[in-house]
Amino acid sequence: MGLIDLTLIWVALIGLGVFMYVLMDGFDLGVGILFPFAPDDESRDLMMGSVAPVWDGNETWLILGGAGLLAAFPLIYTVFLPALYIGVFLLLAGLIFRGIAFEFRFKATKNKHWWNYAFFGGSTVASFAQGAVIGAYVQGFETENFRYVGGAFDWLTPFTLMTGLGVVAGYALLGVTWTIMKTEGKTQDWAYKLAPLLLGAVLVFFVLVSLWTPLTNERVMSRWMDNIGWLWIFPTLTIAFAGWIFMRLRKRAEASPFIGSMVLFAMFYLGILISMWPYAVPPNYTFWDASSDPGSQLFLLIGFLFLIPIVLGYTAWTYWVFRGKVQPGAGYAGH
Amino acid sequence: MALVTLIGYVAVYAVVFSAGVFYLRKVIDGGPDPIDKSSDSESARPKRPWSAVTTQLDETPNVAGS
Repeated sequence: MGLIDLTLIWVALIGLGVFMYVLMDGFDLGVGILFPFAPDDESRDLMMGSVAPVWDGNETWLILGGAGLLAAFPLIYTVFLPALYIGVFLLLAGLIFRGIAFEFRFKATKNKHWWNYAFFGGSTVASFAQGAVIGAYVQGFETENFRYVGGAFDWLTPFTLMTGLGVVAGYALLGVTWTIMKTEGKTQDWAYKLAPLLLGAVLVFFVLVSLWTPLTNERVMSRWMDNIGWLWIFPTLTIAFAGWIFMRLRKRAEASPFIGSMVLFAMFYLGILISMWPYAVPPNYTFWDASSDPGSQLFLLIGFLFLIPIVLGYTAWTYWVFRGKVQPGAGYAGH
Repeated sequence: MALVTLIGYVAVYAVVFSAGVFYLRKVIDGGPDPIDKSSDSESARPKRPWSAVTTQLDETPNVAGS
């Protein structure tokens, strides 16, 4: 370890990549989860049109995080892949189906409902799988000598089932507040009605995870209890932000519920970080155990220093170009 | 486990490509669109080849010229 701790820089970079992915693909997966509940096909066209220009750009962050992870923390790959094979497969299959649903749905007339199901099913399965993967990470892995020795279904437990459903509810909240921001009229009215219910569901999952994790995990319990003098501020802030979103929703604010939901996700993310630090592959290996050779880390870091500003730049530009309410017939429709 | 997911990917892509081939057949049956000089080039992009065709996925195409 020299003057600069490369491993720490990589934790921050991958942390940023994963967080950007969760926020951005979160809302467009959420729009897919809400698809069958929308009032009519016209609303569904609008909702799909609102994410059509940005959804594939959002998923860039998943690739960025995945590639960075392979280069900087190969041990995470070595353990996570065999442990989560089925979960990762479900995630990718879900993303494939929802991805092609964009193209096919705009070409379909009579059989649009098939592609509605593909979009809904793909989005929901992908979200659930992401939640289960996070749950499995919190839960820890059975390892021996830097190898995974557990079974193929160890990741599927009541706890990961719950975190999977929690992420589905959370993404649906991001999706519904995004819909409020991007639409008008009956689609927006419907979203306003649904948003408080989803926010309530997310809070229920937040309370469940916050109680369940420390009760089943001694390390997490002592992390929070030993530092309760200042850590209490995180759950309190989370509840306060949720209350603020409720109030903004009642006032029919358009942008702040979405911004508030993103902040809520940032708080959850910080909570997981506080609970898990410094473990990359709990319960045995830290990020420093999992890191690759400093030479590899430095080599890839130089590439990322160019790449990240470019990705951030085109992401910001796309959102700027497509700012404002989505118009009927926008997106892919009619092409 | 790798075999199970390999079969899974084969199944997923079998569905995706069947749907794609089905649609391409419709496009071919429909024949080329008459060239519309007034259409804006903004909407059809080479990055998304499907943006160049207007054939519907699940309706019998109107054969050009008929």
